[in-house]
Amino acid sequence: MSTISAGQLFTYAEQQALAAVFRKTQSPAAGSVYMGLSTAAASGVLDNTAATMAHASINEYATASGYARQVYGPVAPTVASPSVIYNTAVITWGPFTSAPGTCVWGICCDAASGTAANVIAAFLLSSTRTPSIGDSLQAAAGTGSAGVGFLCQV
Amino acid sequence: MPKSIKSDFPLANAQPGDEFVYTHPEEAGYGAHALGQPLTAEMTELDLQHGMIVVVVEMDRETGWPLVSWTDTQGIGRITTVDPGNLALFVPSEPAL
Repeated sequence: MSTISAGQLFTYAEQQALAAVFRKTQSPAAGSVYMGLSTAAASGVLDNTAATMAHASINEYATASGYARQVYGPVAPTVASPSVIYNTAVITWGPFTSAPGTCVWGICCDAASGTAANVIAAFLLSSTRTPSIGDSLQAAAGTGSAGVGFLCQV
Repeated sequence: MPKSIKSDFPLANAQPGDEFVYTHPEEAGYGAHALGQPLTAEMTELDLQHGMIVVVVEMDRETGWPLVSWTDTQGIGRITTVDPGNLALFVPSEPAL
């Protein structure tokens, strides 16, 4: 198993990107992608060959806690090398109606719900968070700097 | 294929785009209701508050529970899953006359 590091595309997304820019296939239609939260350990668990949220290594929060994936809302890829992409606004989950556990990763995927959603990228949180009942959980808006918001590069 | 949940509450049988109003008998926020007591000021600001409008996004594809979008007091768009025990707190929005 190859594990993933912060801000890295899953193999599924790398294949999608390469197939699109080399015109092997047409890119998916423009639309929203979503940020989920995962309790997977910081190292040695997330498998970069996972194709969907159903993969055993993903460990997403349960919806029974009031949790739902949030719209990621990224900027256009920056004119730089490496080009990066990041969320433009604060992202907030909750309020939680039961304690959902400790989140370690943000996982970007292509559907608001369901384990059939394809995974795009994984982002290691700068510090883990364990929200309590009634809490909401906020992530900072990105700035293009590493460690601020959910930033991904090819 | 989204599942459906068996309930007579309107939110359980709603369609994407349908609007509801979060209505609590004691005007408590959604998180405060879950906790059973008032939240801190910071968390109250981020809570789904009594009288806020929510819009159905879809039914969760695994559980069939409604996902609703709403805008918090900071202007941030949110999505929250409503579990079956809280369906009664969401009342259909009355159309404007």
